[in-house]
Amino acid sequence: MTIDKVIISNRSALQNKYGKPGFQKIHAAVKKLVATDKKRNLNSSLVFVDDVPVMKKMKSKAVKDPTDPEQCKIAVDSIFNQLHPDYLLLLGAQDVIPHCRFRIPIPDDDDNFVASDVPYACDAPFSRNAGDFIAPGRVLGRLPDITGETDPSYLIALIQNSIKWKPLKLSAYKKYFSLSVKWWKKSTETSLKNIFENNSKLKLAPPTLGPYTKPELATRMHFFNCHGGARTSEFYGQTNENSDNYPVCLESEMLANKVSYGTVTAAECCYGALLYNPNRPTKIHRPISNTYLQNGAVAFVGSTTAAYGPSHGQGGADYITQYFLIAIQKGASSGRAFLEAQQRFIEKGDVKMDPTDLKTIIQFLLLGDPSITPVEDQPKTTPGKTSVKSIMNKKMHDVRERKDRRLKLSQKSVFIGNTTDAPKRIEATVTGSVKADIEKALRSFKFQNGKKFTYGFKPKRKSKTKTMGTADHYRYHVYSNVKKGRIIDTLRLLVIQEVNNKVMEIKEYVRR
Amino acid sequence: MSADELNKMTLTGRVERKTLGGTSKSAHIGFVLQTKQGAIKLRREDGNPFYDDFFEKYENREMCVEGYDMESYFLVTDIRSS
Repeated sequence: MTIDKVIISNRSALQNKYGKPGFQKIHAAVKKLVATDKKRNLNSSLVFVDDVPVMKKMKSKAVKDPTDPEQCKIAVDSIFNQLHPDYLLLLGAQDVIPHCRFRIPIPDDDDNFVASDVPYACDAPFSRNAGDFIAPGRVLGRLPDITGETDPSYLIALIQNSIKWKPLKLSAYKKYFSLSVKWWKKSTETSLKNIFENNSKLKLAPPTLGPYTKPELATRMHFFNCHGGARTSEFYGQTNENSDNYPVCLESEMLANKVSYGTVTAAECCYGALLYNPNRPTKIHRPISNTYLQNGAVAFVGSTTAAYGPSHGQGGADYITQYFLIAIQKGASSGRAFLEAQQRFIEKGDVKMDPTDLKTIIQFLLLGDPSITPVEDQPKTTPGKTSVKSIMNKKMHDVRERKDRRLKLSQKSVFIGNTTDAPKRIEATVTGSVKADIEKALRSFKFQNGKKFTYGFKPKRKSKTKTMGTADHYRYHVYSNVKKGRIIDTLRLLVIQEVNNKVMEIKEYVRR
Repeated sequence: MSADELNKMTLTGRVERKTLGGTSKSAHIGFVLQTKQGAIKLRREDGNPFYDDFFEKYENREMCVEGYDMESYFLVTDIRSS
């Protein structure tokens, strides 16, 4: 029997959290999900990565240490390579299936490590180099429980939400709730225009600081472009870049019983999808992401760490979040929508990506069952395809279509891997005209005495397209600049792209 | 030992104002404890994670802080003169 969806978890980690009775309740709920999936034309299977006989069948060692991402990555790869499922669902938070963690050096960046699920969506074997995981090709999501909690009811409720779900008409996903830092208005307006073809419902913080009414939050598409912090249940606004006032504009408790079942949320905010432990070392409210899912949201896309955006226009976090919501509206499952967003982000970017783009692709993740399709399938009128007059054998047709899409996504992953390279920090000096051009740029953009990192690229593997040259020599020179203010400093990042000893592009990233 | 007591520690150093968050979307000025081993961001459980004026009165003073090392910041439960 072909397996379409694998639910991956760790039995001993769940038992340690919830005890045997709690684990049994979760196990029973998952069995119901598997049975429901079957009715939805999905053959699902639950695999525990610490189950020795099962993992032997997967030609892999069982996971012994549930906190070890290397063991889990090897196990997930083996499961994928044996079963070739269309969906991978990681069941549990980071204390059940750990995130992978990477160092991504960027001048003045605070994050020692970037937590990521992206490696589980990649064919590349485990490594500690983030640049090895820029070409995801597997549809993957994580249905999280609460990190460190011992009551299984949260996770069971989320599984129940997956079981009950029935797709809705597109019109249910045309209205939105959106909240933005006041002085990021233009950027957020552009994102909303790209997603919804209008931005009239955008709320700015301040003045909008909640709490929100049920009708306000009842729309099923939520989009946030706010400040966020590590281990906080709040998003924050700001009037202008020099203000030292960061008022709370959303708190996780504001969502209780007000979010509609089936809501899809994308948050650009720093740490927006960090699955922190709300009980340790001190008790605070649950993360906004966990709370959304608890209150009926079926998908939440956000970042585990501090996110980036450019000084003008759009980039980084703006793109990956809006691409996700656009794909949802086109009828993709949440998992496919997120994979398409990741691939589109890489594909649209530079062949040699800069370090902020690398951090963006690594830090964003999908929380939710990836097989949930929010918008009702319209197989006769798939966007971009010639309309079909009639479909025979609908179940087989749908499976065939899904397999075709997976093939294309997998091939696109190979394409991205062949055409895109991730940067690596190097020690290097510049001379001649490059040095002169960089000095000119630094003067022009008023960058003085900042930190500087240089990034290079490994020699490119031989291109399979023999007629196309791949020997161009790229480097990025990244400068940070701090302009002291009374309370708030102005921070900027100048990214200078050098190709074959010529300065080509200059991008400026600032706090937004 | 309860979970809340795990990792509790005391650090000594000088409270300073510093740019935090790099060049990310949420870069900001916050307070750090500058110790001999380096600087670590200070936060209180109920304080705004971006700018907590509670620490203003300790700025440029040698202080002893008690709390938890949260990897990217220090969660302060008590602060006193060193």
